[in-house]
Amino acid sequence: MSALSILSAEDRDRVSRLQLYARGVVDGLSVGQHRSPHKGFSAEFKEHRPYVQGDETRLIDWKLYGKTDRLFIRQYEEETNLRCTLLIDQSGSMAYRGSAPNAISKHEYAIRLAASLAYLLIQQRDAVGLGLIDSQLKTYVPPRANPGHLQRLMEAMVQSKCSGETQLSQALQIAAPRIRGKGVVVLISDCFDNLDNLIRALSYFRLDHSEVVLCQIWDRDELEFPFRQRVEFRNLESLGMNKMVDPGALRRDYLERVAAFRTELATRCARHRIDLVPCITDQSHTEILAGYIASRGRL
Amino acid sequence: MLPWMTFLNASLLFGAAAFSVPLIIHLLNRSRFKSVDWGAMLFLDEALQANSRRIEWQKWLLLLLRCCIPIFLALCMARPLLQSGVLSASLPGGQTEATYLLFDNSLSMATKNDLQASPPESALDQAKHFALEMIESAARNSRWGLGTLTSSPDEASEITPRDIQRQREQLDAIQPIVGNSNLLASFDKAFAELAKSSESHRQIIVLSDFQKSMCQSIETTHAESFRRRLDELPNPPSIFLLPIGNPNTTKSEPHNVTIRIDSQTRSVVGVGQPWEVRLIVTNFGKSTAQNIKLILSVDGTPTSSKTVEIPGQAETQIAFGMAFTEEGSHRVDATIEIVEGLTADNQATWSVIALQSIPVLIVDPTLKDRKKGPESDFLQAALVPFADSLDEQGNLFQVSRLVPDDLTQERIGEFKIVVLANVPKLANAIVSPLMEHVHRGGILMVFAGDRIEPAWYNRTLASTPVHSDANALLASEQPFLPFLYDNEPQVIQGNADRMKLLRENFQHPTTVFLNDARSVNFDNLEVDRWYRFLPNSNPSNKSVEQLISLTNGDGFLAARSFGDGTVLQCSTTCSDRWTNWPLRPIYLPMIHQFLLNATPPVRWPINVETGQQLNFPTSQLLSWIETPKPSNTPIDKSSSKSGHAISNRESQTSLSAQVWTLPNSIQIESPSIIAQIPGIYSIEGIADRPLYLSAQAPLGESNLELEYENGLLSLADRMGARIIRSADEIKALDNRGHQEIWRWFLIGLLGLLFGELFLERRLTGVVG
Repeated sequence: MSALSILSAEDRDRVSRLQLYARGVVDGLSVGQHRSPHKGFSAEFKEHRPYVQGDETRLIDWKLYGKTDRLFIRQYEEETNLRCTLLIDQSGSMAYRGSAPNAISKHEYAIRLAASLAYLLIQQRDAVGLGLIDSQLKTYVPPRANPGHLQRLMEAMVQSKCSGETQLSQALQIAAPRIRGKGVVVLISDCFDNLDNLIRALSYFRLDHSEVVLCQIWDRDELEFPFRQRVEFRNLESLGMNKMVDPGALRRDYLERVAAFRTELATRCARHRIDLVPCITDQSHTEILAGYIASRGRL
Repeated sequence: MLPWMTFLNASLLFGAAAFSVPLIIHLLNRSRFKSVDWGAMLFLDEALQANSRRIEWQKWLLLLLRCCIPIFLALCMARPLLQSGVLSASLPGGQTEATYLLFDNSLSMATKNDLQASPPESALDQAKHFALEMIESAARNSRWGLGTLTSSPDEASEITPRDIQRQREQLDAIQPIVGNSNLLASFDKAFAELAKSSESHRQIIVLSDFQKSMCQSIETTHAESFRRRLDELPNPPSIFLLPIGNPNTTKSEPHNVTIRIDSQTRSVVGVGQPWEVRLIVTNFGKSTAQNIKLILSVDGTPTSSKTVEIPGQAETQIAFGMAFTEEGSHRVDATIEIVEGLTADNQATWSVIALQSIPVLIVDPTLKDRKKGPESDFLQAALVPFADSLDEQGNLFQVSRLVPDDLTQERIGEFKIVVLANVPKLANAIVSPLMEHVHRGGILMVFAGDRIEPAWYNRTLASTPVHSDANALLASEQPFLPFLYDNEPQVIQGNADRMKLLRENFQHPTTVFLNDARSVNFDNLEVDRWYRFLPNSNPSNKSVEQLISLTNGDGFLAARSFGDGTVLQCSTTCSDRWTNWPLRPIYLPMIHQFLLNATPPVRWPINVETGQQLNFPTSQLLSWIETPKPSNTPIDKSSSKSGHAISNRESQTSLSAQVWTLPNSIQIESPSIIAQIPGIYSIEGIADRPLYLSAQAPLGESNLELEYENGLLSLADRMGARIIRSADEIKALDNRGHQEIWRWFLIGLLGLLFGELFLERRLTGVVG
């Protein structure tokens, strides 16, 4: 997977529109309620660029115009008040790819979602960091806001491989000291772990006054268990732990357990003020993102 | 097979083997599965841990249900029957009924028990009333078959649904006849018909007067064999015996007088010769039958009568003497006048053929042998037994004798029968006339002896061509003699056992009388010398037959049809030189039978018992009264018609026969005719008057004696049957026979199907 292929042109367009939408949302909502998003603009000069039609006239460097008789726009090193760290689960279970045609794996979906989010934030000039976790913190990219940082993030995402067992709580405990300071932590995972440990680990971030967003990735097959004939289920996390199952006989119980798990997770997330965003791999991740931002009011 | 359960369609039980199909599918599915890389294993593991036991037994239960489905389906289709007593009280319905009624329509069933009734009702009529009563009161879906104890298997009535009108017509068609009532054969017939029916309960009801003779006819070994066969049937029918008439009358004294004509009465007699007919009157009752009037009629005209008195359970023979003035076939009717229940056996018939005396020419080279005496003396004495008595009219044959040198064509033409007794050879000129004589219907009988020249016989008479002078017609019939003579005679040496005649079941009309061991004894007949018969050039000729054999297999007497006549060939002498035959009493009747039976139409049995076969050889019934004439008329088979030439006018019945009409004669082509009804049958269209055939009823049917205790009860016990008294008694029998339970298996099958559906959906997670 190349870095560019993570986001298709259409996705990039949609994310750009999302950015505009998000910007509009942010602008509209921030009046009188939050610090201005422009307040963070630093006076630290970065560079000039030629004026193009549509640029604000107040950004024109008139002094330079007087010297050169040409219009330039003054650009500054930007600063932001949002530090967002994207944590992507790359355990074995994330490698599951559904039986539907053109289905993508949960990990691939998670990457696309993270990339979209990163693109959106970078476009907003917010700082975005990245952590790839399974039972440990495998890769960590500190948050940066410059546009070139997006490429680095995407390269890190592309290089991630799914393997090993899911031990999110342990990985999050390892990652927590690296992600210090107020910000937003977005965990993209199927959350196939002990819920007590997971919620406890996410609570560390809450104690650090960070906001926590949990994007739980599901495949449609995992929610509906559509298998009929006899199936040998090969465990993606532990080799050799295969199960020969008559799916029909287990379907009912399985679905009940999945539903109970989802309900429990939602309840606990609500209790700890963690935003839970359920995602299914056959759903559009940009729409899910838009829906979440719309429901949240801002990012 | 379970002793308490049987099946109507047992062959369909093999369908139960389909139970293996779900097993095979199960085993195949175990080896066929899909592999999926799975992430959400924690939920799967938990579900597996919680449900593995339940899933396992549900899976096995489903497999069991699936295996049971084809088994139950096969059981349903095989239509199982539960024997009575096994759960039958708790299983409602499911019983259908097929009944086969076997009527005894023998002559005794024509007995009218109640002579005061108007009109008097015979036992067969009572049986029909019983039957009709049963059919009318039977269930609408019942099926019925009606048969008789005397009909042949191909006359078996099919089992048809209850249709009172139809079954009433079938009952009306059952009439008393005299045949060999065979109870076991009739049961076989009924079994075969019942096997075609699909009813759960099957029964055979025998309606009979159960005469003593019938009860005794089923021997213990036969009964055991019958019961074995009955038990082996898939759904054995119940057997009921319904004695006709008041049960109390079965112990009462039977009352019947019957008349028969002695079977030893002569069937052939010379015109004007005294003929004696011996009437046998039997009183089967215990009391004396008084004032029994016997009337003898000839050709329909009463000729004499007598009144006799017969003690109880006794037999009297009354002889009537008379003479026939006209040649030809005559019918003799003997009747008794008595008021009694069974009138069908109060008359007896006999057929007699009166012939003008038959001229016989004996050619004997030893006529002038004063030392040993003529070879043919014994033969002449046998043919003309009354030669020395005053009553020369008693001789059926007129015998002339001459030496071979005196034999001429003209002399041959004067005689019907020519006998060559130890003739060395004949002049060549006389051979062709002799053959033509036989071809026209004459008879030649050749006896061997020490003088014959076998080489001449073999060359001239027994080889092909027969004779150079023979015309084309004769050439087509050759050879003339049935067999070649061996070159040298066989001789019994020293004290070796003399050769005797082989006792066998004689079939040929000429020798069939030898089967009657009561009147025929040839055990002391011995032969010292004989010529062996050797097959001639055409051994497959069907007209040649070795009629009597010696105990070593060599021939004693052979016959060959030649044209319209017959050639008889004997391997030994007609005198006592090579055999003691002429010294034995059997000599006379044998010679008479050989010559008479070779003479049409006497060659056919004309007096038989009912049920016996009338064997008509395929030969012509030419104008048999006159001297046979040359008949070169080819038989026009296109004129054949299937008619009823043989008819019994009294009973208005007839026997079908293929009849060919020739000028002044007819030919009957019918290998076997069985006369079931006693009386006179007449073959019309021969000469001026018909040829009569007589069938007499066997005596057993006239014995109405019934032995309830020892007879019927014993019969029922041996056959595993139940005795019933009325139709109501059958209806009152509960839980008899088998009960069909396929419906219960069907319900079980539906239960299995629904169970399978539910479990399958549950296991596949579709419901619940």
